[in-house]
Amino acid sequence: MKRVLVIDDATTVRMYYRQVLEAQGFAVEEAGNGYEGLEKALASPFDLYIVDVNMPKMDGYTLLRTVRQEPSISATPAIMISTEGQNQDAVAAYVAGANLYFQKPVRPETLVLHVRLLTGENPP
Amino acid sequence: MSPLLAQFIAESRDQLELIGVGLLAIENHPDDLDRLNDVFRAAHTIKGSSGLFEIKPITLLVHAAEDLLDALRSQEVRFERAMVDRLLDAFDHLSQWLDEMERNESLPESLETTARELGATLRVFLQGRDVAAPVESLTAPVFADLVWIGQWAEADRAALYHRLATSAEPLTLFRYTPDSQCFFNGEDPFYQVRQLLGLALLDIAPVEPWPPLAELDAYRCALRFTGVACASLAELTTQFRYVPDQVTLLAATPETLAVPTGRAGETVHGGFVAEALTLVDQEDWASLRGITETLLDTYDPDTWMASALRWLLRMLDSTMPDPAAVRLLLDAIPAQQGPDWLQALMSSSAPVVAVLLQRPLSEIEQAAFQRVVAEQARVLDLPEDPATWAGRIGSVCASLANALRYVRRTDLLEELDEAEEIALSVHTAEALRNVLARLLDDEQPLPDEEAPLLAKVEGALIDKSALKTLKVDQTKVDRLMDLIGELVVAKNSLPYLARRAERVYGSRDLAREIKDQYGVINRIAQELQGSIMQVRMMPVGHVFQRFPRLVRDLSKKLDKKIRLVVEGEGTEADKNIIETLADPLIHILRNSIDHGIEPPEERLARGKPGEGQIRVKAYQDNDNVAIEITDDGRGVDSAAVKNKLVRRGLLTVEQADGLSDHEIVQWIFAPGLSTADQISDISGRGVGMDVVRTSVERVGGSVTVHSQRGVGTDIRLTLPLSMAVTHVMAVELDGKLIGVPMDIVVETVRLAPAAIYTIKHREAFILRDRLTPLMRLRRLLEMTEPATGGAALATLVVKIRGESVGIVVDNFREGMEVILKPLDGVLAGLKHYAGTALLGDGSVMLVLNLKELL
Repeated sequence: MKRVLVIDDATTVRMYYRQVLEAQGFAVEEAGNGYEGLEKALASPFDLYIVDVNMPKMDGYTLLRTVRQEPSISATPAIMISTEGQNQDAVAAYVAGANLYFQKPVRPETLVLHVRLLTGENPP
Repeated sequence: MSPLLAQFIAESRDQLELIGVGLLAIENHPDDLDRLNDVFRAAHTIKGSSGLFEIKPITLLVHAAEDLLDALRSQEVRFERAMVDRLLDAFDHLSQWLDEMERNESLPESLETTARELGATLRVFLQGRDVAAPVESLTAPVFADLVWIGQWAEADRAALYHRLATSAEPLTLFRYTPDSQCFFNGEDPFYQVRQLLGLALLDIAPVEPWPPLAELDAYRCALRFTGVACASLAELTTQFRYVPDQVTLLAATPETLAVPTGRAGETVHGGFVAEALTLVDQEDWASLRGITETLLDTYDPDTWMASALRWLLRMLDSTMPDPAAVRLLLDAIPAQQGPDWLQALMSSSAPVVAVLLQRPLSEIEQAAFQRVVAEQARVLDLPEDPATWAGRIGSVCASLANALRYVRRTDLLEELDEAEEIALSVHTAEALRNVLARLLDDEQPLPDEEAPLLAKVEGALIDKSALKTLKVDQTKVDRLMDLIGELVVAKNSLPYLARRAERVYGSRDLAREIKDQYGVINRIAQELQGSIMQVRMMPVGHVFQRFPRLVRDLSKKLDKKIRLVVEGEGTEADKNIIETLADPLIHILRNSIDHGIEPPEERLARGKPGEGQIRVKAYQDNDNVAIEITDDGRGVDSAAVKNKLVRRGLLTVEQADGLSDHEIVQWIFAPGLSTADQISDISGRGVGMDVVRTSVERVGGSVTVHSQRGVGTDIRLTLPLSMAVTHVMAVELDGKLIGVPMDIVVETVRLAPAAIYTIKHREAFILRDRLTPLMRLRRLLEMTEPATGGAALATLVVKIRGESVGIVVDNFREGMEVILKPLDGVLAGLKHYAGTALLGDGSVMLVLNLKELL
């Protein structure tokens, strides 16, 4: 079972991703901020990180930059999803280390499809 | 009924409607690929969902239809008009079966045969198309031989052979060897095989001899499934898509079943094979049959020879025996072995052997894959940052590798690996970029901007509005409606309460507060009622959808040319009203087509265009929905109607002569009146227009007709928008309240007795320069009339069937909203009353049905 780590400070958003992804057979872990996310990422291997941009303690950019410099986890694919209404620059996300960039809201079908692609999970 | 089944039925009906409309459009524009795709998709949806239930007839039939539609849209077969007829016919059956499913939750088994027959009528069109291998085909045989087909009893194979000879269904052989660990993947091979479409013959055997019981591992699957299915290769490919590597498939011909079996016996009489082959060359099937039958008699039935000869006869039974197949069977006779049908299949013009490939990627998946690749290219193009270089390359490659696995391009993984190594060691992403560029070139060119691509992906998913629509069981809405109705009535008791507070308890303040509260509750109740009414509203176009089909079928049958023009389909009305509308409207249309519109020659002779026109137009008219059906046909023959009326004794000659043409024409709504000279199967025996009127009036509507001889007929239905709450005008009669539906009340006047004229024992009065008949309600209800003296008479002017009539009542009271409950039980026969209504003070008021009373 592919493991996905969802890092977002909004509980609702985390729950939503969890619901959508678990329904498709993914194992989902949550972290409420970048710092917590980094701790969890280092503690056990994941197949994918889904990262929010703005978070308390450590934001998504910092988190991704740190991940990409940490050899044990640096090759893990990451999707960055910016907050609704903010037109964040995709380039900033890619510079930080994201492999895909979305702007909220992301449709569940879109999310699942891209998560499958980035984790190599077989098509349904 | 299970909610899932109910959902399936409801959804399939929706799809059928789409299909019906789509097919008609296709008939006129066979090149409309979009339409064709729509219809195909709808059929596909039904087939897909039907697989969830044990309803083989539906699956079989839709499958055949889907095949034909698919062949049409891929232009493998050319469009023929007859196709539309057959398809419509097939889907009509389907519609009936859905009704049957709704009643009994299952279909009788006999329907499977019907489904096959119907399917065969569709498959006829598929004969002779180029059989393109639906999946990547290999030329290497996948089965070593086909003698295993002989394991099934000859009788079973013969029955199947016979069926295939008549139905033109495809035939596919399969061997499914499930992975021994398959149970751990949640697979159920036995179930899967049993669910196979068109499964005809099945053998289940252990892959290896059974081990001793003590060593048997019950968690390993040790079975192999071999069988024959009446389904196409593509169909089985889809069904086995989750276990492609464990299945071998072979598209076969019916002859493949002709494997003689039995004990080896005497060899063949010398000369038979040679003589038979000569007859085959001459295609003298009758003689071949003769000598075969003679020879068959000389063999013991359970010998190999007898079996071979029986198969030979079966082949000769078909209308067009295949010389090649017959020869092959004859060739096998001397050695009493074979024939090798596999060789025949392989060498035939279209090699149809295939191994399975997985489900092709959808457009959405393709687009998403392209996006992933494009984004990785973007990441690689960023300015280099030594600190994150390794991580960046690593994650890009991991993402790409995973995406490649998803799209099953594992052949590129090695190349990607190498490129990654180079990128990490030499610090240049050039090789990696090349791989990416190839992936991007591989597929369709990527749009310049990502936004439209993403929009396409998103748009292709679910229609936004669909997410915000809620499907609700109608009974729930009806229940809500009932409750709101009760609420509306219950709130009416508050004014009574206020009056009591003031009069009985002398509290004027309390009375005022109650009245204030009443105002608030009244407003909320009305809004509530309005919103729930909105929920039940639906466009009348829902009913109109059937019309094009009706007009098409009937006009074809009658050799008439008719153009149907539909307007105002978007006009909304209560669901119940719309449903009651369907039958009357169809009736009127049938009448127009059958009796109204003349045959083309007759029309041309009268100087009209050869093509007749029927216009159905809906629009909202105050609180009513009006629907007009206008045709430019011959119009109602008022003389014929008059004749018939007199002959039936419905009117005296004198009465009839006194009526205007317009008044005469209204009589077509009288029970049992038909001017058609002959009974036709189109508009029936003339039990028509009276039924139309009754059903329209039952929901509080009315119907009028205008017709001009030779020019056309215009029938107009007026229906209330909603039938939940009725506006009535209360009038006083003998100290009691009686209701009159507000929609027929035109005005109220107080009439001085002197203004009443008596003409031929009938009373009338002048209303705005028009002589208007006057009735007295007391007389109509056979009540005694008190002397009124010279007081003015309270007169209600009502409009019934387009005519104004004055009704004298004792006194007027207020207008009110009530829930009309029809009379039931023994009282249901009292046609003079539309029903009863409960008033706010708890008393019951009778509501008149003046149309019946007058």
